[in-house]
Amino acid sequence: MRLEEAEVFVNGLLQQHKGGSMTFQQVALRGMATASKPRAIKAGLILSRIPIVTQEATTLEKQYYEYQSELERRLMWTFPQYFYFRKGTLSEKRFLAAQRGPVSRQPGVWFPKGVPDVRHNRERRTKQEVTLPKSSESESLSGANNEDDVSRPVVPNSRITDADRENDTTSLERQLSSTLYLIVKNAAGKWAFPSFSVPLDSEAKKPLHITAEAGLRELGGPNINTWTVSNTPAGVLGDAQATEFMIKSHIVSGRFVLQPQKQYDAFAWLTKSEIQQRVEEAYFKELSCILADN
Amino acid sequence: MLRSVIFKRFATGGYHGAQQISIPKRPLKKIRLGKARPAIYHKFDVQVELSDGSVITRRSQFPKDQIRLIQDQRNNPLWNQSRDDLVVVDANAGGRLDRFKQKYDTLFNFEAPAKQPAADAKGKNKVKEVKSAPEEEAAATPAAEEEDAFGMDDYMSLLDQNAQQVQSGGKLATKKRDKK
Amino acid sequence: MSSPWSNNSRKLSQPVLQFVRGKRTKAKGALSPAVQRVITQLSVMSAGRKQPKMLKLSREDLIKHQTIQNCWSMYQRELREKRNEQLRLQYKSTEKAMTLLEQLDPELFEAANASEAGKRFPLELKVPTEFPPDQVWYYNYKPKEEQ
Repeated sequence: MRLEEAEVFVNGLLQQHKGGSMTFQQVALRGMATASKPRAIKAGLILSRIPIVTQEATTLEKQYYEYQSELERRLMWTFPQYFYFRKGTLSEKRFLAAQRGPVSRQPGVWFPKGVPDVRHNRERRTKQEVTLPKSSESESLSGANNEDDVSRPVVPNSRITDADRENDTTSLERQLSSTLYLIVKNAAGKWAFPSFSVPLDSEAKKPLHITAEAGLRELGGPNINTWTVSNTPAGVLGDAQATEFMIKSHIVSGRFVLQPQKQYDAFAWLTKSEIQQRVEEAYFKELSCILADN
Repeated sequence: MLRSVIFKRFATGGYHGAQQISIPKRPLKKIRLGKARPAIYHKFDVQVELSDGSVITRRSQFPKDQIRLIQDQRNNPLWNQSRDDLVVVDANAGGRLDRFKQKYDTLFNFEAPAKQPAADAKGKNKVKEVKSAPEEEAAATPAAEEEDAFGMDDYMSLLDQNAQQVQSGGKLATKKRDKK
Repeated sequence: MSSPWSNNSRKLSQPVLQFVRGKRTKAKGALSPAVQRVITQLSVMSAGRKQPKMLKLSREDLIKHQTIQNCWSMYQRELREKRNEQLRLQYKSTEKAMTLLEQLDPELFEAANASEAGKRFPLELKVPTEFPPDQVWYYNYKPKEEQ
């Protein structure tokens, strides 16, 4: 390396003598081009879709949360019913009708589960169970499940979408609870993150993240809204001919439609574990720390 | 009956006649060591449906198990700049502020009254027309400037995309040691 | 009483409503303020009546509880260590990329190292919810024309 550098320097000096005006940068570039092998620089893009729903809790987490919430319920104060329902109103009547009152203490009666200790209509030794009257009873009776009705009952959407059932890997609506990454298949049949070569002549040279963004628009159409995390590359993949710098980005909205071209012929939105199955092992090992586990 | 309870509990307060009640400023209640307990209010699990249909679960003291939001971050244009299909709902429509605005909007609007007198002046006397028009313009421009100077738009611009945090040169409070 | 002032005095004797800001015009319920204060104080005191009984754990229960808590803190520590390790690897990865970029192309390095002050997290990226929205993804995005 030292030798090469010296050579470059001498070369540069010579040329400066010959040509007269030349910046050091140009000299260095030319030196690079002549002395060492030309190394192409590529900008890779790790485009991710952030999770839309929360992760599924593990068994341990579920059990611990249940334990904690039961403890808290046991220690909760009595529900101040007089505060929320005014005396003599219909809502109070409805609320009281829905309650199962505690067993009160009677003289001379044996209680197998211990002697009741009732205060403010609450059994103090256990958690208080308040059943709320169904406010939507009347609506369900009328049968009109109106979409515009603000007081219709809340029915959550399924966490598993159609794309999950059909295993449609090109859809952005699959695997809602995990981060998806865009990977593409090149003509040789290898899956990898999309990468775009950076032009190295000084006029057309652009920063890595701009190259990656422009490349993505070329590859997937202009109707895509992304947010690049940083100008700084998050990782590097190198081999003899080309060095690929990975830029991280998030897709915010829009659709990725693969434009017809020679370079890539398929794309997929995959989670980290699915990527591991598709790409080469060495490739994955290099990048696994950059990808989110879920 | 209440009174008897009071006087049993607060023996320190003297009895000053039938109508007067005097009690100490604070009830005497001793909390022994290790007997202090935090206030854990009764809470319900609430399913909250956001305006776009997504559901989260929260805890709330209010006795209701399902809440539907009709106006929140999910359909606010500020948080959804790339979307054009939003149906903006104003939850306060028909509220007090809205009614006030409907009633007095014309009074506090700077543009409308500036033009109406001009139109009146034109109709009434055509002789002064030449003079009055520039005068009205001159009167209107400072009003507009004033509005810019004190308008809320200045604060809204802090939320803008192009707003930048002050990097350096701002006055920062620094701790200085006293010279002794 | 037949003086010229009598007319005037009659005017004055008319009930005059004077509104004083902050003055209570309606008594709270039918109770006098003193009784009201007693009730308030009593209700404050009676917090103990609203509380459930103290938890009395037997020795075995206590050990069970402690085991659960230990398990949870161990689990949390594992997660934390895993996360820190990943962060460390990510930092090393970035550092490696930047050193290599500096050697290969100083111009690109300068661009990649430029200050990004004022860059903001996009408001449109949302916090995950428990159940997905009706419209999971917005596809019809059109880039806005830049003026």
